Amino acid sequence: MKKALCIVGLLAAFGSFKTAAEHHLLAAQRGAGFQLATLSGQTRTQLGQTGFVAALSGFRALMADLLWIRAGSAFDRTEWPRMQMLLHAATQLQPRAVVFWEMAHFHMAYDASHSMRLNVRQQPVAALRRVAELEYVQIGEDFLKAGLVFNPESATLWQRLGELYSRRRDDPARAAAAFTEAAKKPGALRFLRRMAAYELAKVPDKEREAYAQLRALYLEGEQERLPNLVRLLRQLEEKLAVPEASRVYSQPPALGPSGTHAPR
Amino acid sequence: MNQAQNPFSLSLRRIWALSHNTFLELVRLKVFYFLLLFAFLIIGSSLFTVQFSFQNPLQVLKDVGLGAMSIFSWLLGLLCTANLLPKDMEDRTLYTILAKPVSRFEYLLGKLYGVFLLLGLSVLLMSLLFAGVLAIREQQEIAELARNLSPENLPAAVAEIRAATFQMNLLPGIALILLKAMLCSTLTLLLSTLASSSVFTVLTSVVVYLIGHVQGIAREAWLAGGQASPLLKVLVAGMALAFPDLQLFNVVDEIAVGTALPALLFWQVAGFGGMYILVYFLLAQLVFSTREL
Amino acid sequence: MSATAILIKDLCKEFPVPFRRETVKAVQNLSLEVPAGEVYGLLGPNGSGKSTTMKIVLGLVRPTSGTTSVFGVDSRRVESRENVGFLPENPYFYKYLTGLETLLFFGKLCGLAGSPLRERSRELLHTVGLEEAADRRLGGYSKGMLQRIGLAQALLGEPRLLVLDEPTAGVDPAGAHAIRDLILQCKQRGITVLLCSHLLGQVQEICDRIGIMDRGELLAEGRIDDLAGKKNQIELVLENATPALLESLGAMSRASGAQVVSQRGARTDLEKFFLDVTRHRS
Ligand SMILES: Nc1ncnc2c1ncn2[C@@H]1O[C@H](COP(=O)(O)OP(=O)(O)OP(=O)(O)O)[C@@H](O)[C@H]1O
Ligand SMILES: [Mg+2]
Repeated sequence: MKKALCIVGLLAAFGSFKTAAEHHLLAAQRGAGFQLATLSGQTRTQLGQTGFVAALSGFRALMADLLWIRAGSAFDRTEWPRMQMLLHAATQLQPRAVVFWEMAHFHMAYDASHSMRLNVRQQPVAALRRVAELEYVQIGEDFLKAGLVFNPESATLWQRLGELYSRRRDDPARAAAAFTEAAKKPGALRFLRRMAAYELAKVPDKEREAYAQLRALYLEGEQERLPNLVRLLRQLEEKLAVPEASRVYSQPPALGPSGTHAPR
Repeated sequence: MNQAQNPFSLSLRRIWALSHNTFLELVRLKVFYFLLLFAFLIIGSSLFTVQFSFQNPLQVLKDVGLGAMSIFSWLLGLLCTANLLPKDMEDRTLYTILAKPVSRFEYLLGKLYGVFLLLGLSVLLMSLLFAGVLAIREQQEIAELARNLSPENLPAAVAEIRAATFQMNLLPGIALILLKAMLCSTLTLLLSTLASSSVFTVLTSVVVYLIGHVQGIAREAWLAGGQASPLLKVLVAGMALAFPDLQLFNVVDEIAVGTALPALLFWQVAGFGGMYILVYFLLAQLVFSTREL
Repeated sequence: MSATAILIKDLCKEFPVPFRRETVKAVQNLSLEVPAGEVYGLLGPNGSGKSTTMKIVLGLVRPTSGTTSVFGVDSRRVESRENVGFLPENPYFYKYLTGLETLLFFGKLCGLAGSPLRERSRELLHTVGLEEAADRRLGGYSKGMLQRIGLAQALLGEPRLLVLDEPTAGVDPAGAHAIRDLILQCKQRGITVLLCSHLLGQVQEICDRIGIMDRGELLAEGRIDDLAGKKNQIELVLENATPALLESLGAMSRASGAQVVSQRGARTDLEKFFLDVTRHRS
């Protein structure tokens, strides 16, 4: 009995020290992108009791995969609300898997929302179909934004956000901002800066800014002088009435073999 | 307590003899057959995951492998350690050993070290098997792609497959899986010095394992000072103080999806695990040194 | 070198009885001294505390009070076991080891290594008659074979003190005989032996001194000859003696004042007969 008390005492003394250390370590790990999964009530419901225990004790990534596969079967049956819940649970379990956020947003903002638009049989009123469509675009946007909270350095997610603003929302100002952000991230592809400038050119009172960006890109060298960029640059020079002397070129661009490779 | 026996008189040769013997015991008890289960699981799911189209089958296979490695190494350590002391005491082999110039400290250390050896070897074998199966599947997938994709799209697709297979950056994560299993073994050893039956040891150790994985949640809630009832607070505080946070060793899942583990962080976690092992071992020695055989 | 091999002073050991307040008094106020080179026999009925005493001497069990030491070193210290070989009662070793591996393992614990250890192990396997079973796992050994391997293990580290708890239990007569010879050899080499056995005949043959315990207490102690010898009697065994010779021997003894106490036809004793029969087979 005395021995047991002695041990409990020692454990408590060690415990108060190690609790502080654990707290510190957890913060450090979260800072580096670990231990970010949240096992909320909703995730727990999706996983069931056994799955929840498994997720807690080493099979978290696998449980996320299983949820993902179940989301796939919901996709096959076009059960969008169920799919949304499963995607949410999977991303919560494995929030550092960029591909999960990316695919989740595709399925919501594109697949589900398109299917809402075409859903004439269940919703004959066009305006209401439009509302439903936009709701899913919003859900897709929410997935991207949540994904960016966990992966702020992901160029892919910023790029997808820009694409969503551009294609699904007709919001070139925010699209430009998202592409600009994407272009700053490690591993970003070159064309993102071009995309930012293209989008900015569509914003009514930002043309001057857009022109400055396009011009800077043009001056960087041959590899940026793609037909679209050159065409837009010329349009802007006309529109903004840039003096002849300070225009970047006066001849029509030659269409070289490099001109064939255009941004997606 | 007039403990004349110096618990720290160590002979590496004796410890080695004891741990080698423990290792041999576990091997001859055919403990490694347990790993065949792991092999079946990996190879089975490797065949099974081919049919998934919605999620990258290699990623699923990898997650199965890493999860199974974590569970198997833990279970192996737990089951091997739980019976070590009770068996020696029951068979009275302990008398013969301790009648030699062997201190109880050496005996305990030798036993634990033998289990560690076994765990290390098991994790190594599991990793090799796992890496091998993934490599084979990788080749299959790439061959499949080469047949279906145009040459200019191939490099990107191959790179994606490569990223989902076994990569060297997983090794620190696997090392921490091993460390977690060793920590749980040491804890089991401590429990078995206290317990009178190995059923108790195993059950308690399993409970500690489960609680250890939610301890972090409880601890953070307690430290944040939420609005819980006083009784609940005391409970949670006790849980935070008494149990190890085993979740801190689960970093391999994030590594598998491309998160880089900084070296400093790895060593911090490793040092933390080492400290736990040390403390649990010293407690086990404290109990064992005064225990009536 | 200390002249005293084992010194036990006022030793008491009580075992708690689970869930009760009372205790079992296994050893009570035992004081004992075994000089180096002596063969000492502990006798007593079952449960009298013999094994417990031995375990305390070896530091395996903690005394409730009192002290024990081996060659002047307190039993609680690891060093006290450096020159000791112990054969526990009903010895039991790792089933998964072979006879040879068992000796190698214990040899390493004694600080031996390499080829000296191998040689010594082979030699001891020969001594205890287990050469043929050397590479078989102990799981398949019989009780007597385990006893023999236990004895070999006790002799491994060239001990100066042997503690043997019922060394011949379960061993066949030839083996028991061999073990008796072995102990006598040890005695000749100056090794101290603490022995306990229920075979009084054997104890009488090999022990210099005995102590008799009952319920944890030492009741009697002394040299065998003092305790059991009949100084004024002598036995005489004759072969091919005619009745006339016996008659005249009886007359002669009466004439010199002596007395024939008993006279019977000598039997080959069963042990000798058994040994003869089994020796012929091998
Ligand atoms: N570990 C233990 N726990 C409780 N009681 C014990 C323990 N070991 C011995 N005893 C008790 O101590 C007493 C002495 O036991 P011990 O084994 O010393 O007897 P022994 O003289 O060797 O008997 P035997 O001739 O049968 O071998 C017995 O009553 C026994 O029940
Ligand atoms: Mg006994």
